[in-house]
Formats: sequence, structure tokens, C-alpha cells
Amino acid sequence: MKTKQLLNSLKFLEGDGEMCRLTRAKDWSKTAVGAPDTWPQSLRTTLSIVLNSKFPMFLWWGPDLICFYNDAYRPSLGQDGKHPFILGMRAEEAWPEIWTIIKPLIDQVLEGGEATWSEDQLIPIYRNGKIEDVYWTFSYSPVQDESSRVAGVLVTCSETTEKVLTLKQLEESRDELAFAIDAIEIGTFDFNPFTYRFSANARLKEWFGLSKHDEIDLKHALDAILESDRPRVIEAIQKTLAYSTGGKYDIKYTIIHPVSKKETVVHAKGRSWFNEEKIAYRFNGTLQDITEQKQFERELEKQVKERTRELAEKNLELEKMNKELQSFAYISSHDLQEPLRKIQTFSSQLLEKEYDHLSDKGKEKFIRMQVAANRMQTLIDDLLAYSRTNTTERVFEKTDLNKIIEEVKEDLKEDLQQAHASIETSNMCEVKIIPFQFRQLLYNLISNSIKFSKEKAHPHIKIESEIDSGKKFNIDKLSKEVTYCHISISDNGIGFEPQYSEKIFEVFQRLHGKHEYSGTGIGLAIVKKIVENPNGVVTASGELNKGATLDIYIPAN
Amino acid sequence: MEKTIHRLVLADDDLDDCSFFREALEEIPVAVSLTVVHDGVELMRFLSNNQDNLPDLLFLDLNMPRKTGFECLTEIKAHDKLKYLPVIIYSTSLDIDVLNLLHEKGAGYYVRKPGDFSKLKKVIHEAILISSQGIANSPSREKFVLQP
Repeated sequence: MKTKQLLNSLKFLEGDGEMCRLTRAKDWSKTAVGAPDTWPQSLRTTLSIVLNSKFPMFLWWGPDLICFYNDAYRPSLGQDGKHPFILGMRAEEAWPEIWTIIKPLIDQVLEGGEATWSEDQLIPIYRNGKIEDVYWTFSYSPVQDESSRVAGVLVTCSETTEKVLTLKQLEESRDELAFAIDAIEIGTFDFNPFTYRFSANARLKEWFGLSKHDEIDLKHALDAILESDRPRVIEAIQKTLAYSTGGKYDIKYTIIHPVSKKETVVHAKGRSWFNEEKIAYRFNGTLQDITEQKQFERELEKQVKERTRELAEKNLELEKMNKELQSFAYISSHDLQEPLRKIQTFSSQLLEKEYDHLSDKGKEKFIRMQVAANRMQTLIDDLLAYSRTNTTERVFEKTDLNKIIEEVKEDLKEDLQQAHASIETSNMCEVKIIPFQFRQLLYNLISNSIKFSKEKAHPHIKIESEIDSGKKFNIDKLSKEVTYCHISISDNGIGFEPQYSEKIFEVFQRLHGKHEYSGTGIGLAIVKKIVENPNGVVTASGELNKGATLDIYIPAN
Repeated sequence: MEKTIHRLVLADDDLDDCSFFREALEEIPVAVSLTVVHDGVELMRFLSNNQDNLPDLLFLDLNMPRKTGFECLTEIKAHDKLKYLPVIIYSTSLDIDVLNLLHEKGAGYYVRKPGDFSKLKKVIHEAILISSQGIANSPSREKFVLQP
């Protein structure tokens, strides 16, 4: 009967939960609260609430603050910690590590104060074999006994460690992001399309000369954009806010600080966020300072322009010089020829009428004067021919080289006969050339071969031609992809020393004294000009006393 | 149409060339009178004063002060009466482009002043002979230049 009574009196401890069982099984008689059947109703009621609640709860009871707690609270004690032996223990013994934190709170409640409220408070406890940083949101509330005295402290609590740590991590990530944004010198903005205001980081505000703390009116920011850029930026923003355009923002423009007038060129990128009604509710992004890059580009552009202008100037100068040269040719043809012709005419009159009055020495000097005058005549004529080679625009015609060689042979008939010279030709191809120029070219070369022949040997001139690609001829100046007609003219004359193979093509360059071989030193210069006119190449090779070979390469098409 | 050449006009500003011409003419077996003018303006004045009694042949230098030989030729060939006057260009230079243009403008022959006096006599004589045969007004381009 007594047992049954006891059981009845302990009905509040019924239940299958772990803490119910442990509380039932505990020998309370050895504790300050004594056996359960002696517990006051207030304790029983409170404990019944605690043990049956699914919300973490804890109870300290009596002057010794004996510990009770429920299943929901139990996980907060972890493994290898206070569970289960703090059940029935005095608070001071059970929580030595935090006693200094919680004692004042407990006292406050016990002394008739109000319930406490602490949110996300760090209260490190011993669990899982070590002291752990645990965050709690908790309330201590007073429990009164039958005599309306505060006899216990009910703790309802919730561990918020995870939430706090997540928030902390979030905070750290934000810090890191801010640091990164700061490090790469990026401005950030977050625009609200409903208010037309935006927030931004300090850097962006600095560029725009905006106040550091407030949200900003878009209009205010637009005022700081270079006037010529502004319409473009407004249009880009409007497009970004329209769902149909995809909401992407990508634009470069210049900001001018309203006070310092400092220019910042930025590359802005961002996007809009749309709600279900396809209305933009947010538009955020970044601004990158590309002033230096832009300045570099501008500097480069400026330099290119400068160089181009210089080149154009040089070109003009060259054109002018070319014209001057041409007018020089004109002057030599008219003004120089006139006095020369007069000298020649006067001397021919003297020769005709007064020659007999001269002494023998006088006669000899007179003849030498005439020779000199005639030589000047040849010089002027050759110079004119040279200057006309590139000024006259002539038509290129497909021409049979054989025909031209025959014409030149006819022109030089007397010279060829006199020198007992022979010309051997083989495989002459058709080439696109300016016929009268090429006739002049062959004329100059064949006359050279006759002129520079060896004493006691009849001049023999061999002319050959072939067509092949530039690649095959192995000459630097030829384009590899172009097909050339290669014409070689070789003789058995006096040749020349190989070191002069370039020099002989220069104007007025002569390798022999005038008394040895006549000539003005212009013939080969004319040849070179004629060949280079249609992008051809001419080279000379020779050996002293073993003949010379001129190789001409002319584009075949 | 045979035509005897009696009266020549030489338009040349160069006094040496004028005396060469006169001396050469004296040694050629033709009986002609020579009028010399020294620039284009003078030439045109002379011609318009004598437009009803034109000379038989004009030797025209190209480089002259005030009005060039080329301008004179253009004016002459555009004039109703003067256009019948045979014109022989008498110049130092020999430029292909200039030659073509002169031939086109209706010049008769082209004589390049030679540096040899005997050649000068020859070419002047030749020019007078050809002109007396009445063909100075219409030579073909190939025969345009008279070679001494």
C-alpha cells in the first residue's frame, strides 16, 4: 500500500524518456532535496513540465540549486561530459567552469528579480572531453514554492552555436570579400530599381565624390559622369533593367569628380535580378578603374598618330624632293643644253671658217674642247633618260624577247660588226615589260659587252632565259611565291672584281678611267631602274678578265 | 601645190640663236627675207598687222618671254586667217610629251636646234624646201621631227 502510494506520489516521474528513467532511478535521499515523496508540490509540478517538454529545459532547485534537466537539454551536454552525473548535483559543483558567469544571473532571479534573457551568449562548457565554446540563447525564470518564495530557477535554453558560427563565418567571408574588393581596387554598387537609389562601397563613392554614409540617388551619381558619356550610361542602365535584354550591364565610361575634377575611367559590369513578374528588383555590380590602361591606350594612339603624321610629312618632303629632281632633269634638258649647244655651234663655225688660222697646238686643243663638249652632251642625254625611267608611266606589254633582241642588234649593227661581236640566244620567253625601256636595257648591256671586251678577243654575248618560282632561284630579294622570268646576259669581256658587283649599278660609278673606256657611268643605273620598275631584281657577277654576267629577274605575270 | 618661200619670220628671244639662224640663212642657196621678233607678244602683233599679207613660213621657238611659243601656236591655229601660216617649231629640247602635244595642236615640222653649224644650215634648208612643197601644214607624226 505504501509502495502504491509512493508510486502515485511519483506519478510525475512517469515516462519513457531517458531523463525520466534516470530521475526515477536516482537515489534522491542522499541529496539535499531528499526523497521524491518529500518533494513539495511546486517542485513536482515544475519537474513534470520540465521532463515532459520537448524544449530544452533545466531546473535548479532549493538553496543548494540541485540540478534537473530534460531529454531535450541532454544533447547540449555532449558525450563524455556532465551527463548523467550532474543530475541531482549542486549547481556550483556541476558548472564550476561557468559559475562566475551564471551565479550573478541566478542570484538576480533568486532575489526576486525578473527573468533574465540572454541571446547568443558564449558560455563555454565541458563536453566531448574538453571545454567547448558554446553559444546559448536562454532565459532564467523564478519558480515559487507553496510559500511564494523563490525556490528554484527554471532555465529554458537553446543552443545557438551553429547559428552563431555560421553568422561569424558569413561575417568573415564578408570581410574577406571586402578586403579582396579593396585590394583589386574595385568599386561596388547595389541599385534598387524601385527607389532609384543605390548603395556603394567607399571607393566608388570617392570616384563619384559622393557622401560616405548615405544611400545615393542615381541622378546624383549620373551628374558626375562625363557629359558625353552620360546618355550612353543612362541607356545602358535602362536596358539592364529591362527583362527582355537579359539584364547584363557592361560599359566603359569616364567619371569626373565634382570637386577635384579628377578623371577616372571605369569598366562597369553588373546584372539585374528579376522577380516572377519579370520586374527588376535589384541591379548590382562592380566598377573597375581602367584609367591607366585607357591612358596607355591613348598614349599609344597618340604616338601612332604622331608617327603617321611624321611619315606623311616625310612622304610629302620626298614627293617634293622628287619633283625637284624632276625639275632638275627639266632644267638640265633645257637650260644646260642651250649654252652647251651654243658652244658646240660656235666651235663648229670656228672649225669651218677659222680652223686654218690656228697653230697645230691650237688645233689639237680645239678638237679636245669639242670632244669635251660632246661628252657633256652625252651626259645630259643619259641623265635625262635616267630621270625619265621612273617618271613616265608606260604600259606593260607581253613581249617576245627575241623581237627586242633583234631590234637592238639592228641598232648596234655597226658596233657589232666593227668589234666582230656575236650574240647567241636560246629559249627566249615572253615577258610583260615596257618594250621601249627593255630595248634600252638590252642596248645598254650589249653596248657594255662590246665596250668592255678584251683586246684580241671577239666579244661573244650569250642571252638565255627561263621561267620559275622565286623560291628556286635562291636570291634574297625575290618573293618566294612569285614566278619570275630570269634573263641572263653573259660575255667574255674584261669582267670586274667581285667586290664591285653592287657599286656598278650606282649612278656615275665607273670602274675605269675615261681615257680607257668612254661612258658616263649611268648605263647600268638605268638598267637597274628599268628592272626594278616592275618589281624585278638585277644582279651582276663577274671575275676580272673572265667576263661578266648580268642576271635579271622580272615577275612573269 | 608648189609655193615659193620668200618671207620668213623667226620668233626667238635668244640673240645668239638669231644670229646663227641669220648666218646659216645667208649660206643657203635660197632667196628669202627674214623678219626676227624676240617674244610671243611681238610675234602676235606682227602677225595680226600682216594678216592679209602673211609671211610664207614661221620658225617658232618655244621658250620665250611674255608669251611662249606654245601659246602663240595655239592662238595662231585658232585664228581664221593666221591658221594657214605654216609653223615650224624651232627649239633646244626634245621631249616626247611636248612633241605629241605640239603635233596635236597643228604645228608643222619640229626642228631641234643642232649644235653643229653645218647641220643647222642643212636643217633650215630642208625645212624651207619641204614648206615650199606645201606640205608643212600636214605632216604625219612619224615625219614630224626634221632630222638634220
